[in-house]
Amino acid sequence: MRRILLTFLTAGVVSTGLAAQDQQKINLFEKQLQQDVKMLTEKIQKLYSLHVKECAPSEIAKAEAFIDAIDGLSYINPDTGQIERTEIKPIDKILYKNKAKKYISLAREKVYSDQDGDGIPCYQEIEQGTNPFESEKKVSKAETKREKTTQQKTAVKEKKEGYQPLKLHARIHFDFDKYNIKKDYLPYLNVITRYLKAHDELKIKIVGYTDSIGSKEYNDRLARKRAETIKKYLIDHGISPDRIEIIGKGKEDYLFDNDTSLNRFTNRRAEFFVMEPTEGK
Amino acid sequence: MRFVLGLVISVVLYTFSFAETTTTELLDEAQNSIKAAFESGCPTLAPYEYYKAETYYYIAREETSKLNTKAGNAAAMKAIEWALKAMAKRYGEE
Repeated sequence: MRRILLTFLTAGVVSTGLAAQDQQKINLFEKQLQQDVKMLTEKIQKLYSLHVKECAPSEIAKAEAFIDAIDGLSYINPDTGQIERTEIKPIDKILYKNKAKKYISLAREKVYSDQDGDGIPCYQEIEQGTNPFESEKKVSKAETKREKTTQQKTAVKEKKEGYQPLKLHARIHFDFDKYNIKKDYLPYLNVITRYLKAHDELKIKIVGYTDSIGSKEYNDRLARKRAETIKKYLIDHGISPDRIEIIGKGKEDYLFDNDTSLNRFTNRRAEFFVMEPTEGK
Repeated sequence: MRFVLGLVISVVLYTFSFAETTTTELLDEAQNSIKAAFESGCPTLAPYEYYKAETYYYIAREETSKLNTKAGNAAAMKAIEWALKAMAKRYGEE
């Protein structure tokens, strides 16, 4: 009788110990998983600041869905009307975590890759307001061809005007309701300054634009202020004020519709047109 | 006696078959929603929303195949929700 009792007691102690060990193992697994998920979420946040939703929407959507599933899906049960939280098996958590990792890597690659072959990575193109899936070079080539033919046709007319626009065409963008130049665009302005210094005969026209928010009068003033800020920058860098012409066009000539914040950002811009004197002058 | 037993069982089965929304129904609905979104051109016009719906549908199928029907239901519901969001974005409601 004693032996039987002793055996039961030993078996009980051993099984309790094993169960505790298992519990510890599971906890460690959960801890590790939570850390991994946290790390992946941070990576996604970082990618969001690099316009991943525009550059790699499908990859980031897949990664987010898998991470959501690891955390445990909750839904409103159509029958009870109550919110129900569900859990998935540890093996599925591992599978989904790996898939999320894979899609985050793919999204990251797309963000930093040059998808249209113009040498500018996707996230930079979005910041500049250009289309990351269509090469600017190709567009400009087609445009220059078209322009050449139109120029030939209207050569006489343009000579009378005194100045004709050059191909050097650039633009910079502004934050909402702001007219200060963003640090990112200073290199562009410096290129234009150097170009103008090297070619004394050239003039520059700066046109400021705004998005669709606010009154026409306010936006006209804001657009002009944007152009004036750039004029001041160029004057500070040694360009004569006689060579700079500014125009403010508030709530006009949008590049895109103003439905999304990205489109509005693209529309809030100042464009440069470097002009060269024609022979007619 | 047999007749009564059969009647009771069939009544019980009939009641239970209409009591809950089944996982299959939800999966079918999710598939239909995603199909409608695909045919409306959502993969190009609302890719974020569309691919999120597709991934939830994938998760729903996986979980259901492993008999975790609750998680399957949840994922299927999410798939339907995101497919509708994709459609809304595609038709300019967002």
